[in-house]
Amino acid sequence: MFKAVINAEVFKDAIEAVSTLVDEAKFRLTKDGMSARAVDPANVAMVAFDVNAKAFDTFEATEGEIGIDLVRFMDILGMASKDDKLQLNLNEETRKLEIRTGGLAYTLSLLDPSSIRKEPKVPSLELPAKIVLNGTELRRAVKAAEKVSDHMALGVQDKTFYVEAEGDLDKVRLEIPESSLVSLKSTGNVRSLFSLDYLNDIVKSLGKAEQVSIDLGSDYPVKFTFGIAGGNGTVVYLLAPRIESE
Amino acid sequence: MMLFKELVDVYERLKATPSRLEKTALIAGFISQVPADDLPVIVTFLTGRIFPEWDQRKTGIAGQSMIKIISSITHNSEALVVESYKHTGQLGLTAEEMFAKRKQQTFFEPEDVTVKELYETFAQIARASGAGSATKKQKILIGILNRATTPVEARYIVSLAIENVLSGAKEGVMEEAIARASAVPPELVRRAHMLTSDLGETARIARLQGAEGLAAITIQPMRPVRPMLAQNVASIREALDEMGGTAEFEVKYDGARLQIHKRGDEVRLYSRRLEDLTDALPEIVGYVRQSVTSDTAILDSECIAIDRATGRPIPFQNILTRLRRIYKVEEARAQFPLNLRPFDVLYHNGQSLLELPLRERRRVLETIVTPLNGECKPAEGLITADEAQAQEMFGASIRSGNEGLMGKDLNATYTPGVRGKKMVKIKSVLDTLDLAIVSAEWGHGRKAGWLTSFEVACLDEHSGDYLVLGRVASGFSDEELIAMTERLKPLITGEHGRIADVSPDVIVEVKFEEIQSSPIYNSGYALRFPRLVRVREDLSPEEVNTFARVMNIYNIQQRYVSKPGEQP
Repeated sequence: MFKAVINAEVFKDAIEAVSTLVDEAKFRLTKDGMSARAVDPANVAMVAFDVNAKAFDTFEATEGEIGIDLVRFMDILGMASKDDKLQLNLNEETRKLEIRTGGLAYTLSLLDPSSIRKEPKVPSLELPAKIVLNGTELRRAVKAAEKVSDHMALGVQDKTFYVEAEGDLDKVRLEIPESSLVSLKSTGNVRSLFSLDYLNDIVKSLGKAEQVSIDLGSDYPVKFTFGIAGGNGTVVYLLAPRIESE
Repeated sequence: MMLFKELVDVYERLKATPSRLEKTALIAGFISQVPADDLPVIVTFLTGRIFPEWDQRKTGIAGQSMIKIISSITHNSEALVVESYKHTGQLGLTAEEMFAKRKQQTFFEPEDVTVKELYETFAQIARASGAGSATKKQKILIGILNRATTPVEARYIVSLAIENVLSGAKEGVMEEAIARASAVPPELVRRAHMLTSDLGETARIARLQGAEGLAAITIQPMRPVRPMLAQNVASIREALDEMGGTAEFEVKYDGARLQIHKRGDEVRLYSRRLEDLTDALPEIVGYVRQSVTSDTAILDSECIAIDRATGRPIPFQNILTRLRRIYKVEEARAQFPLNLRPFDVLYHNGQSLLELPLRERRRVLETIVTPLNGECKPAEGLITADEAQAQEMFGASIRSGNEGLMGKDLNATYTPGVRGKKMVKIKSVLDTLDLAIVSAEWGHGRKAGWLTSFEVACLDEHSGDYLVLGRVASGFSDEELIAMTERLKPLITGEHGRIADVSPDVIVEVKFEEIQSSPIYNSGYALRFPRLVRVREDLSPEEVNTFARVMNIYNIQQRYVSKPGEQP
């Protein structure tokens, strides 16, 4: 059983965190909320998504799993206006999700969860540097880097967080000193290189967050953690690095 | 279910051995281990195809799209992929190279791809059509390519996706391997293959039902069959002698071979390479509906174009533009209207007629094809034992702009895919040869960077070796040489000095003055004054002329020399 009411925009933003990486996902329902774990088809990026029941106006669910075609789901969510309420109701018999918003009623056919790729085990990473900053800053850095290259470095050097991208001709470097960050903790200098294809997808969702925490190492995966649904949910992205040398 | 990487291993081993016998043994050994239900896909994949020959499905992934796909899965920029493609000349090799240069790390090793999954993925790609299908096809292929575990595996997935596997088994090799793996006579395998146009299914039947099952295979409407082929003879006399004194002679039209399948109102037209040409030739479909009275039928025919003003045939080249037409069919139709000349019937009202003698098949043909003015009527035939009468018909055929005569044995069954003496052609000039390019020489000066002269070879069907007949350097324009260079580059297997050896996958039509015996080439013969006529796009590498065919022409030529003045 699953029956819930939530603000349409809040919910759309939350789901988008998953839909940027995968086209279909398994959502786990409990009485306390919903969650998903997914890895992109190339095994380069992972997302761990958790929304607490408190993010919803009303939330009732029994333990279960639903498979969702995220492309179609996002299409439907896109039809709702910003302040609309969204009513979700799982029809157990037909295995369809009924979605009502602003007088519109949709019925979304669910996917067989067993046909969806198995959820990944999300590794726990102990990384030497932790940077906390505003999501918009990071989005800006990614947009700038994209103009010159297809990959970008994230690093910490002498208590300064930097983003650097180097193309065939041009170079972009953005430095944010500790004073302009929410916080920076680092046991030394670190630097890793990442694909902008992925970063660009990730910042779509992460760029809306007040605070994003970045766990960073050298030539190691990066971990982005941020809150969604007014602090009643979290998203963690893990992104595998590119190898820096030729 | 078998993993695709096991098949990759076989492709690589096939690539490493040039010997036809070893290839045959290798494949026979491999497929005898494959479960019967997996045989169709695995055998088809091994011949470098995704779907059987009769099956018209295509993945339809364009080169440009493949570059995007390779870029996406290997996380290398499109520019880098294009750069690689420029020097490898083959998308499969580029995929391998780019895969090896992947700089992106991943969290997990991908799950191995099974052969079945890969087949289903290709089928899914082939199904995607309409708006947005290019993106959808890309996405599906990316999904499976992301699971390639090694650069070589990526190469073969890409090569198969565009059906350009250079190390696949040739059909003849596969037929022999199937025969050996299931201990059945190779002739039966070949027959089954020709009837079904499906090596995979042939292999499965050979395994499960043996020789008996293969022998029981028959033809059915809407499944194209390899056409029966004709050999050259020197003269009417020789044709009569071959046929035991009496033969049926028919006008040899300069047209396109067309196999017609009819089931009720449904009509499909296939080329000699089994391509579905139905949509390109609407008027022929109309003629068949009007003229052919049987409910189900398979007819063999020649499709010809007649100049309305002169009543003479228009050369085949113009018909070809009709066959290749997908768009503006109506315009082309007004310009080159086509007529149909059915000359044989293979299937009629639920019955295969393959085993009937020609005499009876011809009788059936005449009862089921109602002549429609000039548009559709049975090919003109003359049954005679009189050389002079046939000679007269030959003269009339040449004068009216046709190529000569066909001579047919009235007692012969229809043997799909076989080139034999039950059906012969008598032409006013000797044939050209369709030969494989086996090596090429880099040009210099103005032509530096181009391959400009080509060693051409026929196939010795017994040893599987290519026997060189000469070096051709004339007949092609600069544009054609550049195109040929691009085509041959990816086929280069080794280089010494200015000479590049290439795998024998490009077939060219070569014109020549005569065949001489010569110690220079390994065939023991050489073409005198060879000239390139064209690339035989319509032939598969399998259809290269055999050494027997060369000898056939040589012998005809010797007879001319010994009996001067005699007209064919």
